[in-house]
Amino acid sequence: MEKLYNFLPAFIKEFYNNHFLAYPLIIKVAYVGIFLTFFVTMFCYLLVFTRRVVQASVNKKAEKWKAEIENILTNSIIAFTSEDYTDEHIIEITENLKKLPLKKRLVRQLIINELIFLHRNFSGKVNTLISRIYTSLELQKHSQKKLRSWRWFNKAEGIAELGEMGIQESAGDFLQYVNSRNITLRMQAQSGYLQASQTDPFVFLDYTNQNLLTFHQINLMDILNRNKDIKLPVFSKWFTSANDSVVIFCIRLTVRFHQIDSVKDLLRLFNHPNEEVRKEVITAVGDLSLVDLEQHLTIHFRNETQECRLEIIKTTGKICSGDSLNFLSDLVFNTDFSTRFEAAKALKRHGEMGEERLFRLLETVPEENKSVVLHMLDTKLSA
Amino acid sequence: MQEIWNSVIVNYNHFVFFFASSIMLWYLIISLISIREILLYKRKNSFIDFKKLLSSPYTPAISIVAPAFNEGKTIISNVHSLLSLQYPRYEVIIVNDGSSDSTLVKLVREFDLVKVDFAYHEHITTGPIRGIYKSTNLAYSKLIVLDKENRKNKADALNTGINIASNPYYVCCDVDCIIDNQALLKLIKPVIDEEKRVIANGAVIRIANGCDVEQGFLVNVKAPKNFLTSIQEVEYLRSFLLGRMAWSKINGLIIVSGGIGLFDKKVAIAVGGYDTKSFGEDMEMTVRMRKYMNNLRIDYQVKYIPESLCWTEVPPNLNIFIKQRVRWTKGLVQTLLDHRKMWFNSKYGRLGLISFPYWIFYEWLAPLIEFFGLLIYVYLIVCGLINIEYSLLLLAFVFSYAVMITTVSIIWEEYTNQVYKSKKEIFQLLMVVFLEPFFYHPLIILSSIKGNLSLMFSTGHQWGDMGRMEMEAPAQLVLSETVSQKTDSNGLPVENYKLAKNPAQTFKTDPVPNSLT
Amino acid sequence: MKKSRILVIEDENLMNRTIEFQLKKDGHEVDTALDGKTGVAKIEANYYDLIILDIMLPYLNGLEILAKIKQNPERRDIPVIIISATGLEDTVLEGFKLGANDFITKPFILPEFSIRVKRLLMLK
Repeated sequence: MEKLYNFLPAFIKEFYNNHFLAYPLIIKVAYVGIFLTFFVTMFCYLLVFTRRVVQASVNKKAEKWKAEIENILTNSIIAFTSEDYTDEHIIEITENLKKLPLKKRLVRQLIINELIFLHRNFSGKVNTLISRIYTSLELQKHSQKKLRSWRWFNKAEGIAELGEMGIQESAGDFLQYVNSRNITLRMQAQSGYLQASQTDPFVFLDYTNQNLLTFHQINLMDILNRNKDIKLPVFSKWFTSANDSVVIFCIRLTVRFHQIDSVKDLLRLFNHPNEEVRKEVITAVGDLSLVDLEQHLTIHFRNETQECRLEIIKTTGKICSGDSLNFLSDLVFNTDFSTRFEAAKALKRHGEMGEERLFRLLETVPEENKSVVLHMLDTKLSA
Repeated sequence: MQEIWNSVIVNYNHFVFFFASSIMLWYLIISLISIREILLYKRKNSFIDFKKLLSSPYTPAISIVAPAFNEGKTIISNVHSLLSLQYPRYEVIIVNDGSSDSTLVKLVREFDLVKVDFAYHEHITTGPIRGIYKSTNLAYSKLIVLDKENRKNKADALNTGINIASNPYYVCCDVDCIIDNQALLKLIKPVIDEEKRVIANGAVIRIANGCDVEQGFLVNVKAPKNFLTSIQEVEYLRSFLLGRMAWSKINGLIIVSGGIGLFDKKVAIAVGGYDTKSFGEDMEMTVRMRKYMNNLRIDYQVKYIPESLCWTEVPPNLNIFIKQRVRWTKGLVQTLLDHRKMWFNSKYGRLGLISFPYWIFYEWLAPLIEFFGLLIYVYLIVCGLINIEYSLLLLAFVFSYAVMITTVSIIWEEYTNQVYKSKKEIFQLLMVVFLEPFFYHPLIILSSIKGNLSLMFSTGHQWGDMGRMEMEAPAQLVLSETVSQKTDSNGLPVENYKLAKNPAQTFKTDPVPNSLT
Repeated sequence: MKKSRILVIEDENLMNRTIEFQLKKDGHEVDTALDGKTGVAKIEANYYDLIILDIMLPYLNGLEILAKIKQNPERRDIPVIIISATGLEDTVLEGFKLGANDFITKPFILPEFSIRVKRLLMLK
């Protein structure tokens, strides 16, 4: 402190000794405050200016590299759409890419980004070609380094890259994060594992004790939709999971992949304590068009919650067996608007026989219930 | 006597001093929290592909509810832009609030609308509706136009829109706002990737004055040129970027703006929709939704995302500006008073112990305290009871502090989003910061006092009527300024609605917290 | 044989370029647009034998463009292939209802894509 004091110019020393020390505390604080805020403000100005300048030059370079990378990649991809590629071809492409300054992190990242984009958008031969380019440039090392970072977002990014490119050797490292409290890292770990593990891609569902959020499920579904060669287990295996979100997800997967053999297990879930799970089961019955279970649903209708009741009505509309026409017609008389609306809608989905019912209902339902019937009969609304 | 008077003044002075210090400290804390939160948000979303949401059947469906009153000039392009947002499943509900211009006719013609037998049900009680229209053109199957009688009340229009919304979430926005193409995707994201249930989610509102807009699309973001609008841009940035983000972090946000906001429809209906008697129905609604969830003891969140998703026109002249702020003040005070049972009430957790005290002291009372402080200041100077050097120093400190906080918010926006293309625009905004405390801040105080007075001189029961009068008054005022005296038998202008808007409705995003004291 | 003219409307630059390259390699003449508005302007100004359309476009939704094409009596007969990341039933159905001739979901196989294009051109 004393040293600092000695460095100060004379007039400041003079000011400090003769004026500053004599001020009341409040004024001292104000003085210091003014200087501090002034410096912070100036620092901000400097920051914005330098950032603009630096950013502009980096962007310019990045643009240039990006264009080159795109050029090489598009040309090489198109070259192999009609003929098979060989190891020599891969070497040729990598040689071309190696002409770029690969030592620069930015360049490597740009290449990875472009490869990931192509990997996501094209399936078939191109897809495997992209993965081969990635590994032969040894870019997985770049991604694996991120995995070792102490910052969660670097880890998540690394997992995303390794997962997308299907680097199996890293899959084991992802498992430790599937229960992370960080929602994003958890999501990346799950989807990364699903993509990278070739032996048992769904094993992470055994370990997950955290909530499998909707966004996580969307992500996993997206991966399954894109990668047709992921080995699918029988999902009813997890119907007994203690984690309700896993149960829901597996019901959805059962529907998605038409695992009709799991119906027995699905049936058992009708009595699940969690409303959401039951609702999902009801939805599944409709999506799988399980005609045999329709009766079961309408019998359970009375004991269900409002949410599940509406779902049952929708399900009968999806199945359209014609067995529930009386059930639905009665519901159009219901005092609850949503119930009668969904019931009329379900009738409408029954096609001609439903429409006939609706016309008949038009004459019998009370005045205030008519609106839903008219809504369904309006041909302009059905478009 | 004189002694008592003096001691009152001195004590008040001390009180003002501590009050001001606490505000400054508060802003510092809030800024730091916000900066951290924004950084976290950016990181979280940097490598997530929003387009995944587009191809999933599990992305929740959304209804956009946009009330329109006399928007004939821009309605077509705005609806087109709403129809082309990126989202897998959504509907656009335009509530024509009994426009007296060609709004409905234009909509019907452009989108091939026909009246349909839509089963309208009043989940929330509203004014009468005249008809519901849908397009015969498949490309516009997302569009529903609801025609209702004009109640000069945005809350009522929103409620009717909610009544016909068929999806579990709704986004309310002003039809004349420009909405970002990915707005729905970004608004729904917190709903599906937070552990707690998200009942409402808001986003940054920016100023469209001066931006290049083409057919309802934002082509170029530009800083406003007009002084008043520039200052408002600065103020919006500060309050949205620095203020709201921190409130979202501590889950104490009590306002999700009417400019753009996503709400859980079930909760909105359960609490009875927007209050038609309120001047600030968006804030009032958020408070009521929170209260409802608290009473049910369900864990929930009100979120806020640091993305500029909505561009709105703000008052370009003083007259309308003051009217807008007076309304905001009234809406704020009204909401606070309506819910006075929640004040300092530990039953409502952070809401009662942090949010309400903040809004009461720093948003409602601060301008009043400041005003009296200034009066006393003048008195002290006149009486020569004050050390001029010291007080100037203190003022300089407050000034430099205010400048710093605002500068940080602008720089932070520049750092994270970089919407402005040229350096010049940024520096122009930065210059405005220095002038704000002198020219703009007094205006805020003035309107705040005006708002408080106008509320005080109307008894509680008349608030509702006041609301309607208040909404009518500026409309007539603007009309008489801009429209030729051609009127029909009802005294309404026949045509040539130059500023065919009700400014009270148009400039009704939501109160931006007052600036520093 | 005369070269066929194809318009690609797709907002992702790399995707756009890859499709363009592939089509050029197949011997077609290719024009591109990176957003809906430019796309519509090009459709109105020139005649194309085939249009490849992404659904999620800035400024103008792909389905809206499709409706525009099918409403225009002079352009109605141009076959349209829709490319989309959305495999959602509703969107696919809506696309076909509006008169799309083919629907391809991302990710897709490039050779398959070029065969689909050839087939549509031959049908025409």
